[in-house]
Amino acid sequence: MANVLAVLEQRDGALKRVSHEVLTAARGLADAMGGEVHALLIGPAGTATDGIAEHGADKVLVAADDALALYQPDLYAAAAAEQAGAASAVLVAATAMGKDLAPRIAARLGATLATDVTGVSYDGAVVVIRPVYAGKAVYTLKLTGSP
Amino acid sequence: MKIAVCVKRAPDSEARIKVGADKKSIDEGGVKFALNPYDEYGVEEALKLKEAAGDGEVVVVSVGPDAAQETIRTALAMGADRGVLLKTDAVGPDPLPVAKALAAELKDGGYDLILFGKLAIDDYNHAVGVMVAELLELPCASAVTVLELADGKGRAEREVEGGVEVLEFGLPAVVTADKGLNEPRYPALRGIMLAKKKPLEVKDVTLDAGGVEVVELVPPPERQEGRIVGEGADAVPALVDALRTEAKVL
Repeated sequence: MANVLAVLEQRDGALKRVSHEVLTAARGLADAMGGEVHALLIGPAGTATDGIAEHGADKVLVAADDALALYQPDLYAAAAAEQAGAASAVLVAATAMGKDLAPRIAARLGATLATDVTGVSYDGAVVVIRPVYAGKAVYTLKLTGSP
Repeated sequence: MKIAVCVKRAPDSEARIKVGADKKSIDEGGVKFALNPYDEYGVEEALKLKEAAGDGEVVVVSVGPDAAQETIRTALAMGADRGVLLKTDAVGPDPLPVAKALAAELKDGGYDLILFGKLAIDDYNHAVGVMVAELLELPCASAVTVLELADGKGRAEREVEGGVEVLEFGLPAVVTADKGLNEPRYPALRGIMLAKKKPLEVKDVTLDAGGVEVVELVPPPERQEGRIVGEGADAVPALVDALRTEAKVL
C-alpha cells in the first residue's frame, strides 16, 4: 500500500495552519500513488482534530498526552517513525519543528530525505522540487529510495 | 574537552551560481568556495568552549573532494587543532550517506560534543547534523542560538515560530549552530601560518549510493516585472482590486 503519512503540528492543542498545506500535498501525492493519507497529530491531551479529515486525511492518528504538549524530539521522532513504517512517504512541514524532526525520522527509517520542498509529485517514484543555493537554482529530485 | 566540528566546503555566499551543461549540477568554473558560513559558528563555538575549559582539542571533520582540505585549513587557521577529510568526489544530494560516513568516523572518537552548522548554504538540507545524532544515538539540539555547558550537561535555545524553545540534554551531544550563536573570528595571519603545519589526515571513503536521483537543476523562474497601478490615495481601490483578483492575497 502506497500510503502517505502526514505529520501535523499543533500549538496549545490547536492545529497549526501549515498542517493544512501538508495535508493538501499529502492528498495529492497519495492520489497519484493510489494510497491513503494517514495524518499523525502529536500533542497534549484533548488536542483538537477538527479540520484534518476535511483537508484530505483518510485516517487520523492522534498521540495525545500532556507530556507531548511541547515538541520533544525523541518522543515525537519515535511516534512518527513507528507510524511511518507502514507508509511509502512521510510529509513534514519545514517549520522549526519539522526541520528537526524530519532528519530524525529519515535516519531512524534509513530513508531518503528531501527538505524545504516546494512541490511534490509522483512519477514511478516521489519527485520533489526544492530551491537550493539560496534560491539561486532549483532542483528537481527523484527519490528513488521511496516508496 | 574534546570537540568535533563537522564542516562543508560550499560555494561562497556571494558566488554567482550557474547551472552546468549537464543541467544536473552547478558549473563550478569561476565559483569561489569557502567554509560554509553556518559551520563558522560551529568552529567558533568549539574554540570558545575549549578556551573556557582551559584545555581540550578541536577536531575539524569534513566529507568532500580533495579541495575541501582548504576548507579544513580555514577552520585550522581560526584555531582548531587538527583536521580529518573523508575524501570522496561523489557527494550526492542525499544527506543520509554523508551522515553515515561522519557517524562512522566520529563514533569511537571520544568526543564530548559534536558541532555542525545548522545547514549548508549549497543544498540547504538542515539534515546531516541531526542524522549523525540519530545514528550515534546521541541527544541533539538543532539550530541553536544559545549554548551553555556545565557539569556534563548542556542547555540550548532555539528559535521557533513565535517563540524560543529551551532544551536540556546530557553530554556527549550533537549541536547544530544557527546564526546568532556567536561572532566567528577571522583567521589572523599567525593562525594562517600555524594552520599550514597542523595535522590534516585524509581518508578515502566511499559513500552509499543514497536514494536521491537528480532529475534536473535549473535557474529559478524569472520574476515577473512589477506594475505601478497609480499614485496617491486615488490608486488604493485599483491596488486593492489587483491584490484581490490578480494576486489573490486578500
